[in-house]
Amino acid sequence: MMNSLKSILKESIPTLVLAAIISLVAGLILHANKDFLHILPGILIIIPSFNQMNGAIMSVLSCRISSALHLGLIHPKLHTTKTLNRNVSATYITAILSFIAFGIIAWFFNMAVGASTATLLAFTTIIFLAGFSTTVILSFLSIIISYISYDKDIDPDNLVIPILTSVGDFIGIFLLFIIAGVII
Amino acid sequence: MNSDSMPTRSIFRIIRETAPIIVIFAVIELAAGCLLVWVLEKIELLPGLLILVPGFLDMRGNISSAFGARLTSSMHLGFIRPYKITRGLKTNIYASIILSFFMSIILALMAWMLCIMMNISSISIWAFMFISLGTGVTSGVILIGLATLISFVSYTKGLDPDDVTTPSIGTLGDILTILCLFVIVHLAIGLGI
Repeated sequence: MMNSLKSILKESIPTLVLAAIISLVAGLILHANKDFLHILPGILIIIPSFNQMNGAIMSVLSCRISSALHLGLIHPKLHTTKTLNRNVSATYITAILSFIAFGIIAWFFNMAVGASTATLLAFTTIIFLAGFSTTVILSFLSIIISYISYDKDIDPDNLVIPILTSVGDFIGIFLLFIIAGVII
Repeated sequence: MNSDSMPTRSIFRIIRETAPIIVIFAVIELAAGCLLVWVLEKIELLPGLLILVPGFLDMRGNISSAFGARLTSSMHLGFIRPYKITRGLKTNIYASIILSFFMSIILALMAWMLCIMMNISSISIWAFMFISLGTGVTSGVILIGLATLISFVSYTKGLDPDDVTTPSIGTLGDILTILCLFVIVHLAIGLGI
């Protein structure tokens, strides 16, 4: 897909405004419930990284799906194709490995800066469960939004990542607190 | 090297390329979080500006990630080749700079209106505009350059730029935006805006 300046702007501006509104509303909701943060000391420090990881994992999947759509390797009408399965499986395995590794590193980081926190096992389990479930939810959203936008002749590259990072930040933190609440 | 093979690579290869990058940049983001806490103390000197920060970081990431996504799709399709200034590349760059400009104005307006609606005392609309535009456009231009460079280097090294560009640009974007914000806020205070 050869983008024209006009088509990029026309597709991006509404998407970015929508994403900004989602971020703003999510920020206000989280701000209103900030007492929740005290459930797990040490979690505040890792929230930016946790959001960044969810965003990165989803961006890679979305980028790969849109590249494959542009190349005709996957198609909205054919629901299971080898390329799609391979990309989704790779994303899940990447998420599992990355969140476990990050949980362990973040725990040691918390120790180093002196933020008291849960045991290594509990902390890593919370990060892993919250991160992986976010990945699963977002991967479905990523595929659905990519297919719909491609079908409607909108470049998924303009649409999917902005929407998913904004929604992902919200879902990720929400699940992080729910799971922390259950485990601790 | 055959570019067409990249999007059909094996699961193992995708994981091997992606997982280390995601973990490395998540750890760097921990440092960015500490940097943000430090910069926030300066930002709190200007009332209301705090509301702008999360949406602003998201916007910065969104514009550069979408830029990276279009760039890598175009590379797979052969419209953009490494280290060549083609029309496709120029269009993509212009679009991202226009978007940075436009969205900085929109976000400044949204933050300012939110402050009024929620009765939070805040700096003037012009101070919001100055800080938002200054930070948005400066960090945007640097990030677009970085994203282009990362895509070209990874592509010529045989790595799929889809796996490398967007994860790295998210973290680099946050760090750069926080640093630019720090400089522009100082400038705004210095100029007495």
